[in-house]
Amino acid sequence: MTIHNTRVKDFILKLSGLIAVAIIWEMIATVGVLQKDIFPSFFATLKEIYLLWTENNLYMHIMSSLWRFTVGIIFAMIIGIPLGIILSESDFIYKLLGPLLKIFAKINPFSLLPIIIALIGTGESVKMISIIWVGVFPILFATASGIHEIDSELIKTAKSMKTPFYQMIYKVYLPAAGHSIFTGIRVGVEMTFFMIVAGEMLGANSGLGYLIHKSAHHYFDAPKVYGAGLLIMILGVLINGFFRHMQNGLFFWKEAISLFHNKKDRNHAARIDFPYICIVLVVTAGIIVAGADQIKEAAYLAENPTQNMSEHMDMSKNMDMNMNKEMQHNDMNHKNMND
Amino acid sequence: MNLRNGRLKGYLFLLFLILLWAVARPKFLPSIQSVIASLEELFCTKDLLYHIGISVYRAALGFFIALVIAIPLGVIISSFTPNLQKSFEPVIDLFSQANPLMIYHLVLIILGVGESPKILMIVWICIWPILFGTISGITKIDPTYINYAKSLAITKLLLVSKVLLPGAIPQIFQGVKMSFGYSLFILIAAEMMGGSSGLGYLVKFSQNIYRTEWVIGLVMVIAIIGIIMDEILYIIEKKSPLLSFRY
Repeated sequence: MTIHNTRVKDFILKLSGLIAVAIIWEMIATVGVLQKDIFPSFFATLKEIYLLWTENNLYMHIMSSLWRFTVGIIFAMIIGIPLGIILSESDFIYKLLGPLLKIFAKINPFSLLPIIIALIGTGESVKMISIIWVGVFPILFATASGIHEIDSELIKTAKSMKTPFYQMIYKVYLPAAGHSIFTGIRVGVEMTFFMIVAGEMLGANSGLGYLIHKSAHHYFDAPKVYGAGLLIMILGVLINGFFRHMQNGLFFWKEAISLFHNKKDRNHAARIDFPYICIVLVVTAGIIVAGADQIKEAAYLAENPTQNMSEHMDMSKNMDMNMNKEMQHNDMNHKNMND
Repeated sequence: MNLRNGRLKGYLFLLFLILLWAVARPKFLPSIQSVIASLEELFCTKDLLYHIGISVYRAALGFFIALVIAIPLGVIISSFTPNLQKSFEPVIDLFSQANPLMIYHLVLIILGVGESPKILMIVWICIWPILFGTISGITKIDPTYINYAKSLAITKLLLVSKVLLPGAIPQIFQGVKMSFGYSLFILIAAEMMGGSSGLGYLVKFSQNIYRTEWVIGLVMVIAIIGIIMDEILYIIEKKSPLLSFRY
C-alpha cells in the first residue's frame, strides 16, 4: 500500500512541474510582455498542434523525423560498435588512428556539404550521412574506452579457455563494457537528434525541423513555430527517456541513471526480458516501414504541390472566372464612359 | 590507453595521410597545394585572422557566460527539497531538449540579427552539460562531509565554496569538457545560418561560390582550433591536482 502511494505521489509531483510551466507560459502570454504575434499563449499553441494534425499532415512530419532518427542511430551503432572493438584490439592502431578520428569527430558535416553532394548527389542520403557521421563518433570512442576499462582478469580468464573472437565479443566485451557503450549511445542519440532538426531546416521536404523553418522563414507564424518546437522537445524527452529506461533495465546491477541521487527511491528499474525486446524491435521495424512510406509521400507532395489543394483549385477557378467577368464589365463601363 | 604517450605516432600518421593526399589526388578532393594556397589567399585578402578572432571570441564569451550562469543555478537546484527536485526533474528534461536552432529562430525574431542570437544560442547549449554536471556532482557528495561542516556552524557561503564546489569539481569538469566541445560545433552552425563574420560565415561563403579548396582549408583550420581547445583542457586537467582526483 505504501509503495502504491509513493508511486502515485511521484507521478503527481512530476506532473505538477509541467503544469506549473504551462501556467507560467499562459500568464506571460496574457500579460503581454512580449507581443502577441511572437509569443503565443499555451492554448493557442495546443490548438495549432491540433490544426497541424488534421490539416497539415503532422503525422507525416513526425514519422519522417522518427524514421531518420531510427535509421541513423541503427547505422551509427552498426558502424560504431565494431569499429570501436577493432580499435581497442591493438594499442598501435589506437594510437595511430587517434588524432585522425578526433579531427573527424570535430568536423561539422554541414561544412563539408559540397564534397558530400559531389560524392553522393543531393537527396535523402546527404542528410543521412550527416546524421550518421555525427552519431558514430561518440559511440566509437565510448566503445573503445569501455572495452579498455574491462578488468584484465576477465579477459585473461576468457582467453585461457581459448574462446574464439566472435564469442569473446558477445560474451565478454559487450556485457562488460555495455554500460559505457550505452552511455555513448545516449550521447550519440542527443547529437543525432540535434543534427536531424538542423538538417531538416537546411534542405528537406518533411520533418519537424522543416515545419519550423517553413513557418519562420518568410513570415513568422508564431503558433506553428512554437507548436513544432514543443513537439520536438516532447519527442526528444520521450526518446531520451526510452534510452535511459533501457539502460537502467539492461544493466540493472549498476546504479540507476538519474539526475538527483535520492537515497530514498532505490533501483526500481524493471528487468528487461526477451518479450520486451521483441516489442521494441517490432515497433522499430514499424517506424522504419511507415516512415519510409511517409518520406516518399512527402517527396511526391513536394513535386506536385497542387495535389493537396484540388478543391482550392476549383474554388479559385470559379473566382477567376467571376473576376474576369467583373473586369470585362468594368472595361465595358469604362469604354462607355470614355466614349 | 593513454593517447598522449603515442601522440607522435598519431600525428605522424596524419602527416603521412596528407602526403598521400598530395600524391594520389583523389578526384573529389582538391589537391593539397591548392588548399594551402587558398589558405594563404584567405589569410591575406580576406582577413582570416579577424574571422578566427571573432569566432573564438564568440565561443569563449558564450562559454563563460554559460559557466557563470550554470554553476550557481546548479548549486541552487541541488539544494531543493526532494519533493521539489522530483517535480523539477521533468521540467529540466523538457527544456534541455530544446534545440539550439529553434532558440536561434525565436531569438532572431525578438532581438534581431546581430551578435546576440548567436551568443544566446551558444550559452543555451553550453549551460546544460555544466548544469547536469554540477547537480550530479553536488548530490553525489558524501553527506558526512556536509553534516560535519554543518556541525561546525558553517555559514551558507562557506558551505558552498569550501565543501560543495570542491567536492563536485570532477563532475563539473566533465560537463565543462563536453560543453567546450559543443560550443565550437554550435558556433560554426550558427554562423553558417546567418551572419556576416566569423569562420562559419566564411565556410558558407566559400560554399556558395563553389570554391571547394577554401572550404577544405577552413575546415582544417576549424579542426585545428578544436584540437587546440582540447589540448588546453587536457593540460589544465593534468597540471591541477584538484581536477585529477577521482573518487
